Amino acid sequence: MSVITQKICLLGDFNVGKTSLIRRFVEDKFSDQYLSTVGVKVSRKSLKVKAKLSVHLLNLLIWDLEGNTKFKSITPSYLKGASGAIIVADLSRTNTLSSISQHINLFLQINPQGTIAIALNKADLVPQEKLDKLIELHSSYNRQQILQAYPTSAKTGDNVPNMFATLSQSLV
Amino acid sequence: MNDSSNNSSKNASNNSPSNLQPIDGLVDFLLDSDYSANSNTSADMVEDRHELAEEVSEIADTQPNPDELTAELENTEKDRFDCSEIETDVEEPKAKITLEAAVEYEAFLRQTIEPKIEEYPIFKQSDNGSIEQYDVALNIDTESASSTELVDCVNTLIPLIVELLKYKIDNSQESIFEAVAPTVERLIERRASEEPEKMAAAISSILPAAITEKINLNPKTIAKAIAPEIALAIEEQILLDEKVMAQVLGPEMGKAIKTQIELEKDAMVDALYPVIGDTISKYMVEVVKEINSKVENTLSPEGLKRKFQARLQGVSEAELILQEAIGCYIQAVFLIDKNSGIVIEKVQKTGEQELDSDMVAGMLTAIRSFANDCIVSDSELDSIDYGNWQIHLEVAGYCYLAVVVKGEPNQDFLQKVRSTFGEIVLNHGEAIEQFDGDYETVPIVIKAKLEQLIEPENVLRSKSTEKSGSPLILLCLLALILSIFFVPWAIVSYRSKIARNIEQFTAVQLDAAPELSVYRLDPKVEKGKLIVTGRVPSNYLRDRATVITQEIAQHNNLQLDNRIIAVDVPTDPSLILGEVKRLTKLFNQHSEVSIESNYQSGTLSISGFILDKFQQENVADAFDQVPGIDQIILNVAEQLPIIQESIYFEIGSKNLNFTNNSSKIKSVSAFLNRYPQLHLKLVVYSDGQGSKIINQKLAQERCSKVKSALVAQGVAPTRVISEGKEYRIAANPNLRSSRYVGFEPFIPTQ
Repeated sequence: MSVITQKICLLGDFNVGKTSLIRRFVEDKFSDQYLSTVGVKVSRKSLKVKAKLSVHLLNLLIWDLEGNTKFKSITPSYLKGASGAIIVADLSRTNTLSSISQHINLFLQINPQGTIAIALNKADLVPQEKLDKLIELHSSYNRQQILQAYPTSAKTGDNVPNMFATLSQSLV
Repeated sequence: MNDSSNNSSKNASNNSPSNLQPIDGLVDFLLDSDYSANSNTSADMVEDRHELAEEVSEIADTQPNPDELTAELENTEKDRFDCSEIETDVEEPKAKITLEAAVEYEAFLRQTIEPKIEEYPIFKQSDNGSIEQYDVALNIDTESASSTELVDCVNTLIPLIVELLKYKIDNSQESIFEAVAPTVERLIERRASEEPEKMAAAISSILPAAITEKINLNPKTIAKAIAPEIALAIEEQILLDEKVMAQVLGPEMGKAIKTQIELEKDAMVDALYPVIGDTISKYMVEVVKEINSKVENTLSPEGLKRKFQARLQGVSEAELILQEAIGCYIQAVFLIDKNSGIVIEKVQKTGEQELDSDMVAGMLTAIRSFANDCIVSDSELDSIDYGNWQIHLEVAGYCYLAVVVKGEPNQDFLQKVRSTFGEIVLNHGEAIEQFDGDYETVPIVIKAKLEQLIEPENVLRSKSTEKSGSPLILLCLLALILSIFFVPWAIVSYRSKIARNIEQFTAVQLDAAPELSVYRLDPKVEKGKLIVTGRVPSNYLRDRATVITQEIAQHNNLQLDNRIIAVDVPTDPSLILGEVKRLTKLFNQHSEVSIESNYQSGTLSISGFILDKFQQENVADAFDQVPGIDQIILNVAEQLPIIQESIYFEIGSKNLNFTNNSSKIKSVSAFLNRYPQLHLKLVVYSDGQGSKIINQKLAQERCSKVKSALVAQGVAPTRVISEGKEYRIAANPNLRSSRYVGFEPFIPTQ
């Protein structure tokens, strides 16, 4: 079993739940408290990933980047060398949804070969019918690097492992 | 008030002058504080009052219907009640007021003027003037009335009063002033208590101007009036809005302080001293503590060692302190992908708490990116220090090397790190560039290289810290300390050894000189000098010693310090005596010398015979050399004494005629006694007759006869010698006196 280490980044506007998603994925915990990430926080999670021929131990280094705001954009050099990214948006705030494409562009500009998953987070806050509509609206990105848009909830854990697993799979 | 006066002046244009002027006059009167009226006599006042009364009654007469007036009054009653509306009210009922006053006067007249004669004394007795009396009357009249009516009365009275004043002002200003004053006060007081806001409004408009005027006229009084309340006022204001006060005063504070310093520096110093003193002393205590600790540290052995080390290594003391404090230890080496921050290869010290390489690498990369992007572009972060630890970074194109070191790594190590990293990049650059997170693609050599970097270096370093670190330095230090103490000691001891040798040699040399051997002379070598101390009895011996020591001193490059003292030692008399005897004996061995010496307390007397003059000098010199002889008395004869006596013999006779010759024998014997050192030689003279043999025989026999005779006289036979068979032919052989034995004294050889 070979060991592979890959870097992925989580990016998105501030307060969309990047840190919470990572926390849910890495520690399987959630807190309502909002703690703004300053700079970068690196976390790690090891996964077993099945490849075509063998099983790999994937050492996933997850870079939790400081959220994008009007005044401060994401430092591009943090994205360097990342194999994958999860673009996170908040379903309850439409402006965060609309900036998804901007993040995608930024990431692909630096890592043209990178794989992207989109997390439409805080799905638990949005009613189901509205949720479907929103997902439909924001799932149609016409890029081959984009895997899928996941309605996630760091609070309930919905789709979180699933999303990370799918992304990991694509990295091997 | 100002308004009211304005209004009243407006009214003046509309109304009759009789109405206008009184109010103006009143206002002027009230405001004019400098106004001083001449005091009038009560008689005048009474006169005036009469006139006034008449005039008032005239006015009253001119008014038409008192009932109409009352009605009017009732209509305007409410309005007029309000004092603040005086201004407006005054306009309309100007005429009414005078009428109203007339009404009042009807009553007044009825009460006062009709019983003229009876009332007159009352007026006369009044000090305050007629108006007060009038007031009293009014008061009596209105006692039963309500307050509103009262006020109304007062209000209505104002124009009247003004009118009265107007008429009376020239004649009895004082009385008018007195009359009006209490009323005005009361009026204002009442108004103020009833409706303070309106009063305030009325007064407010003229207050600034009034104050300004007052300040212009008499600033001190204003100052006095305000002074006690200023503090309170400020306090109050601060309570209300402290920011405003600060804002207002703030900009001026600096200037104020500056000015005060310029004006009175000492006062400012005194004022600030307690605060500044405390501050400074506090600061100074800290500084002194710091200095103290530094000094203590500096003077401690560690400090000295550090100083020494710093000098040796050419680094600052501070660096050494740091090194001392932390030492150096390599915890881990990571080869990290520059972009992704993924660890390509890592080497960690085993058995230690291992670092989470992924996290460290990730965060390091983030920090690097941050530093490169946000702080300085186009330059690299080469190390991160945290506490004792340092992460040293070496950056290449696609990767960088992070060395986690505890303490301060030395230059050699850093050089090694660079060269190793250089090799890795050179040889495996492509593999590193292609690295995609799969460790299988990483060449194993890299790990080996990194291990080389960490392992031998650690061993080396630990060795070096063991050996070259403290012990070597300690040994060096010890050696240094020892050398500091021992080198001078060795030099000193070597020098002293040489000195001892020289001393010893000198002593031996001095001892070798026989004349000096008996004297104690101490040679000593000190500071490049050969010092010889001691005492010798003569300058001669001193010179001898000097010669010997001088030679030694020159040989050893030393300076001679001759401290030998020639002392006049009283010589042992027996030694002198022995010497004298020895010399005497020695000289007496000469055939021409026969001397006797007598030594007594420094004086040597020599007597005897020294036949040779040269020998005489010798003798004198020889005895002069003997120490202890101060004086020589030389009493010697150069010639031997001659014995005139001869003993004659008959022809062919060998017999000695004693009778003839006994005296001669005795005198010869006496001569020998007188010169005990001399011996006698008997010399035989012959007349030359007969054969030689006979003469020889005769000579022999004659000699023995004389000798026997002398011996018989007590002369030692050894002192008398004869020539035996030898004889001499006398000068005159035919004479009887040619056959004799003569005496020749001589110095016997010893």
